[in-house]
Amino acid sequence: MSPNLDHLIRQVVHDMASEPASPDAATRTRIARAALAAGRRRRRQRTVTVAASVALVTTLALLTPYALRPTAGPAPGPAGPVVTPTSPDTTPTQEITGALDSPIPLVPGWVVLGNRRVLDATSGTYLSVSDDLAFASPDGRWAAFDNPDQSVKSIRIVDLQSGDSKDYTIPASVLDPQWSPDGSRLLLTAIPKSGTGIEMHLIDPATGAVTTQDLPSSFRAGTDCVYCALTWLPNGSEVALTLAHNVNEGRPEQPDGIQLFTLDGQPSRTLPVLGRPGGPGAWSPDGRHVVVTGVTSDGTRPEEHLVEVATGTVVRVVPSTMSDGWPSMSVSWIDSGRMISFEGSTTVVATLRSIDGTAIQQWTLPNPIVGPDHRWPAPTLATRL
Amino acid sequence: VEPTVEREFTDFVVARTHALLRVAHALTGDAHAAEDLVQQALAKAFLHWRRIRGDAEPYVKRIIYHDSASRWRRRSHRAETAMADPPDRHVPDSAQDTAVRLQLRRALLELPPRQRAVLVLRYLEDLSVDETADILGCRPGTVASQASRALVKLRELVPDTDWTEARR
Repeated sequence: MSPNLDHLIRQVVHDMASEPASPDAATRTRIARAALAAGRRRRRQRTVTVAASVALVTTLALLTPYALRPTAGPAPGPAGPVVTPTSPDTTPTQEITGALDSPIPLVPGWVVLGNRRVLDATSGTYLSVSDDLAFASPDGRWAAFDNPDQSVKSIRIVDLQSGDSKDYTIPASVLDPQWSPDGSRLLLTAIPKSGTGIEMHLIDPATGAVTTQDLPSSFRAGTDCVYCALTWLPNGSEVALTLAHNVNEGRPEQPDGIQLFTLDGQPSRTLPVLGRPGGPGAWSPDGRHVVVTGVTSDGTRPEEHLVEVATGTVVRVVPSTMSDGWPSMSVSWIDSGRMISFEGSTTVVATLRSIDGTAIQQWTLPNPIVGPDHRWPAPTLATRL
Repeated sequence: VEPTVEREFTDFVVARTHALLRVAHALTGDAHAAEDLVQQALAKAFLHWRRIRGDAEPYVKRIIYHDSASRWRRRSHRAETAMADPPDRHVPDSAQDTAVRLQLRRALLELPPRQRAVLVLRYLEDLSVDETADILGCRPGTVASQASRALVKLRELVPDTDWTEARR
């Protein structure tokens, strides 16, 4: 008798569904904790991301995956972004609207780089991509795409000048990719599925070279750090790991300091800074200050702090929009006395502040295309081009 | 408020992990990939827990199916790995049946993710075309065409078998 395909497909699908044995209590708890940690991480990223994605742009067409092209021709009216003064109040505020077919200007030399929409430094236009996660290099040369739903992590790096792309596979769970300050290398922090070691991967897209370094075994994920993503320092020769511990499920991680490593994975310095720097833009050019996500004095809530690097003294709390309990802000210092912060959720405001906290200038950036709930792009930052 | 939300979320995961893993394993055929799929879906669901807490399981399953169907990279090498340790939880009708089922399992895992998701929704969850389309966020016609293509592909991948007609 001939087999019936309907019947057999049903059998096989049910067989496959019945293969996982009921997990024991420890496994269920482990999955719950991992999901909770990943959820918190997504929430943190999302708050930053929403703020960032607003910077870019409603007028750009979506492309097929990984294909990049300039946006459609300029819309009628004045070419490029339109900057309109909107507030005669104490802080000058401008609203940026219109066809974004040229870089969004902030202070001289600094523009919004973009992320899901990436500023092509050569053509000066924002390129639109359709993938969930795009990380643009600060020189506008490369875009990295990350698929968080693969157990074998794959990162695709696209050369925005030539359109060429290359895939890199990392056999571990990877935390946020981050470009070096000069845009030449992509840093990935990997936590192998078995064990608590921390790996540092560096990809040089120009040569295709990948280097992997294990951090010393005395640094363990989950014990010495809670969210163990490494971030660049502005010097491009060191990376930072925020040492932290959890006190209970309801509280944010409690920072213990910052450990720096050289690019060969060796510890170089420790800093008494209690908080997480978002990346190289968080450090002032003179090295004296850093903006970090710390916790309130009672340890119950996250808070953005301007910190003196040498002493760890909190100089002041940086005002920040809170979203879902987390600061919704990213910062780029533009010189040792001023920084630009992006904050907000449905509307993002870029604020130029002096180091004493005074708001000098604000820009309301264009409304975002808010993707489906699952979307999780990465931050957009102002950059010097 | 936050500790309560996290406690509720954790309780849900502990209680429903197995049900979610079953779906994910049917989609991936691989224990590690299934756990990753479930974990990612839970992490996404956590972002909206206050809104979905009363009816979380369908929401999480929807993410699992959607994510599975949206994967841009096929993982046929994982399917090959899975075949190294074939399931044997049901008593086979015959040696021939067993061989065909193993072939079919391998063929299912070689289907494009969206086609596989359609078949799992139709055969495991017993959903209608319209319900499947709703889960995957596509039109019913797309579900029908994906199912049709999947069946054609399965016949190609499991040759030398005189299939009677499938009705999906």
